[in-house]
Amino acid sequence: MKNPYLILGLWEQRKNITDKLVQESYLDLVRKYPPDRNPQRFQQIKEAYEQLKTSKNRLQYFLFSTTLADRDDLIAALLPDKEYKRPDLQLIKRVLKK
Amino acid sequence: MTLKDRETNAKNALHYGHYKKAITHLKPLLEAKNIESDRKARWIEWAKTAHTSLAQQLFKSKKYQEVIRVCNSGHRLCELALDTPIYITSLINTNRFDEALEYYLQLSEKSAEGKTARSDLALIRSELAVRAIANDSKIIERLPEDDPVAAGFENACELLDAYCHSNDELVEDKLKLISFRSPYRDLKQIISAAIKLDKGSEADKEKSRETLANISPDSAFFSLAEAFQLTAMDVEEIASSYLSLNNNLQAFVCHAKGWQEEQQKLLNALANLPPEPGFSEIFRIADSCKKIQPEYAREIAQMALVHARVKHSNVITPKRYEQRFGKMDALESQHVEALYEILTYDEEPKDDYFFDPEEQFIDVEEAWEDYLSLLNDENDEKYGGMNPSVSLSNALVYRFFVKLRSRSDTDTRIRRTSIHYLEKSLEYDPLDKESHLDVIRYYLNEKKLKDARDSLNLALKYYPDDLQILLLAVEVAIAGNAFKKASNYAKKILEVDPINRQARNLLCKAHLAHARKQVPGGKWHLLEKELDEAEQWSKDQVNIQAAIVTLRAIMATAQKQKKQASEYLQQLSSLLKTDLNASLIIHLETGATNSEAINCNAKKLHQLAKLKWRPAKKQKKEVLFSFIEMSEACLNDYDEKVVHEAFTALKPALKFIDTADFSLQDYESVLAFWHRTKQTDLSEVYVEKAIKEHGNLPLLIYYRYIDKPFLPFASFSEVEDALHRAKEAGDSRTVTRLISVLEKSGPPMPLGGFNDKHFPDFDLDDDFNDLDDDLPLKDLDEDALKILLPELINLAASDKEIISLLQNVVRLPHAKIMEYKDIIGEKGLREMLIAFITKQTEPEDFIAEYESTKEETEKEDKKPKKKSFFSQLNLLFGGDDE
Repeated sequence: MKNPYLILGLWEQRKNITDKLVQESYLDLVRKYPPDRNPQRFQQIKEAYEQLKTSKNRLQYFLFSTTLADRDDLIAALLPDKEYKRPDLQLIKRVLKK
Repeated sequence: MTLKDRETNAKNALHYGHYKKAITHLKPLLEAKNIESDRKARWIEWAKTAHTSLAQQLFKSKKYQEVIRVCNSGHRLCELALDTPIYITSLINTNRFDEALEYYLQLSEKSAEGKTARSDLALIRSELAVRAIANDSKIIERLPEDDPVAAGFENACELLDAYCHSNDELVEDKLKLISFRSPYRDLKQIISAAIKLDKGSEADKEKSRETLANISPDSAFFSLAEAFQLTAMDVEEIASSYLSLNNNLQAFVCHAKGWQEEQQKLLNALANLPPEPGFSEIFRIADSCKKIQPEYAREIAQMALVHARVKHSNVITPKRYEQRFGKMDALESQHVEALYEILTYDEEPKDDYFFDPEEQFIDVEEAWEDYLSLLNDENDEKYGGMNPSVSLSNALVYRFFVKLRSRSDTDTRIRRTSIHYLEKSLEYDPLDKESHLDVIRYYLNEKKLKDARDSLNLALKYYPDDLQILLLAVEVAIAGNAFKKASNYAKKILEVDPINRQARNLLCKAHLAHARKQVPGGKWHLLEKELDEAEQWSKDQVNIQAAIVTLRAIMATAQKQKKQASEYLQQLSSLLKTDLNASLIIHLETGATNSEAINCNAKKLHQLAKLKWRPAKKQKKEVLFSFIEMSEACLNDYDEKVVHEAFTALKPALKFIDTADFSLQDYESVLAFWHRTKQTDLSEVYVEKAIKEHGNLPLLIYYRYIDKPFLPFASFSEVEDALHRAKEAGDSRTVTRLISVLEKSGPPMPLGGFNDKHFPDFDLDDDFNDLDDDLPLKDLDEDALKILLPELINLAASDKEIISLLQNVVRLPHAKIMEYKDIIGEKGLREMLIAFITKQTEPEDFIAEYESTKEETEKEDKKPKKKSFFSQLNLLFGGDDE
């Protein structure tokens, strides 16, 4: 993934984003993917944070980023991992039906 | 084939697991008549084994129809029992519930009587339970009430219903009612895990994933476990396995993730994409997602458009974009244009000989200037020019220019232009500390002290207590001889950070510099005070200690305290270990303090120190390296002229160092030092010695010519040969260095004019005759244009044309030209244009130079004019002043 908003899971909030929100999201993700266990993922998260941590950084990203989206970007942006929705009984029956 | 042969074949086939083959041989055997009962009983057993084993194989591959066929055939041939778990499960899986239930009830009875294992029933029961939940609850009606499938059915249904409606309390109750031996046992585990996946902690979730993964693929509830496992995956993981899922699982996952039907279609398209899709694939995806995420679709489509244009692709055109996503507004369109220019600039091959960063940069600059102008207009219209992000955008664009230029920063000219952008960026965003620091450092390095002070004052306005800025403030103050100010700034730093080494050093240097200023005026009390202060701030640096001791010796000599002076100088000698180093410091300090004015020169100090005025020849290698080390530590603290004089005085000693045990590496470091300190004479001596000892290595050829003002015609081929050899040896550093020698020297010049023996022989007259009088300008090469254009400008261009040329060639805005015209006049504009074409002098530099020259002229004019040589002669010989 290349888009820092998507990496930090802030795509939907990007219009009303604040430094605090960026920092919170960064810390949440670092807790989830600590550097000792996920060095690559951590690096990606850290770089994304650097790109968005202040309004100046965010404006800079908006103005000069020329990166083309990759597949993971597209998936994350177009298929957001929303809150889990429980299936209805009919779906469970369909899955169990052979 | 005889019966015996068939029997052997059947036995072998059975032995090797070829059950179909075994059955083929056993069929005629079992149909044969008049066979001994023992023998037939054996064949029946074999047939049962062959059918059962084949059925098990097929069951594992989920070929239920084939299982039923094999079992039935076995039943006909060898009375194979049909009330087996495999047969019944296969009947269930092919929806033949009536038969399945019949055999199941038979098996249950047998089990009650203890004739079959309980585990045989467990598999069938869980299959029946799944069917009952998924397909047909009528199955339950046909089962006895106390049958475990029927008994647990209602609870299982209520459990699922409670889970689907998020009634987790009821779910908990229902889960408790499912026993370990229940056919709904796996369902219990799956729903418990699903609840934790939804609401549990990270550890619970992890545990739940494990639980789901542990549900056996043979379990009747496996598909449900798989479905919940999928919902716990990341979207990227789902996408990568999505295409292999059946429709029901796909629907289950999409529902759980809350994806709409259009998103499900999109997931299909995304799952087919490579990890790094190209611009055309991205444009296609953008087109198909524009209803779901219109803004994102436009964004990625615009970027695809930019990349397509850079690659000269016609697949995505602005027109096509417009058809799919609507028209871009002017600002959006200009942003796309500006991004295109950045990418084009980045794509240019920088190592190409013909690559001109300046030329390429102009396009980037223009595109972004246009973008800013649109942005500023919009800001004025909509927000009355008060939108802070617009101001910041301006600043960021100018800083981006600096960054972009630094990528191809090959000469100081580019840096000069960069400073202009940095200053502009600070107008829009004065809080950017890094830019302040860069600007101050630039002016300080360029020795433009007034500009450095102005920039510093601006920076201090926003960052009055910043240590980095205060450190630079000390340096600026020292450079401008404002020692008190420097000391104040340094003390301010030390108040915040008492052990700041840099501040202590700078403070010490400020005191030392101030002390030196006191020598010519003989203000000994002040000098003593400053030296004490300097000593206090730097106790561990030998060169500073040496300078302090030498200054004290100068003071003592000037006050005719010879004994004390000698003591100080002895202290100096013991501090510096070698006479050459002591001599260096004496020369530097007497030069820096102008002590000649107080009748104390280097020679006198040498005598007092009992140092030889001309140090002994053929000194050891270590003496030279200690000298270089000492020089490196202190040369930056002295004026260039003082250093030059010190080196000149020490040249005889430096020339005759014993080089007998010099390695090539020794030569290289010594030559590098002479080059850095611009000691051409010394460099010449050492390079020739090195070549004599080590041959004409490419590196030595580089040092032979790097300090020459131009490359003699005869030496051109020598450098080219060295370059060729360095290339062959793969020594890229020396290659770059030798190229710089060739580039610096330009084309070979006939040193001895046309009489030079190396100058190519040709008839000049013929060449002149060949010249076409009407040679068009466009056919001339760049060098020729550089010579001819100034002439043409002087001869032909009108003032209006000069202004037009300044606009088009120098790319100066009209308003700026008019501003410059007010300062330098029309004639000045003409000169500015010529200077730009011939010397690449930037207009700002031209103006700055003009103004400084003007200031000097004015000062000179104000001074009482000295009488000229001729007027003095006239006075001597009694003539008129004039």
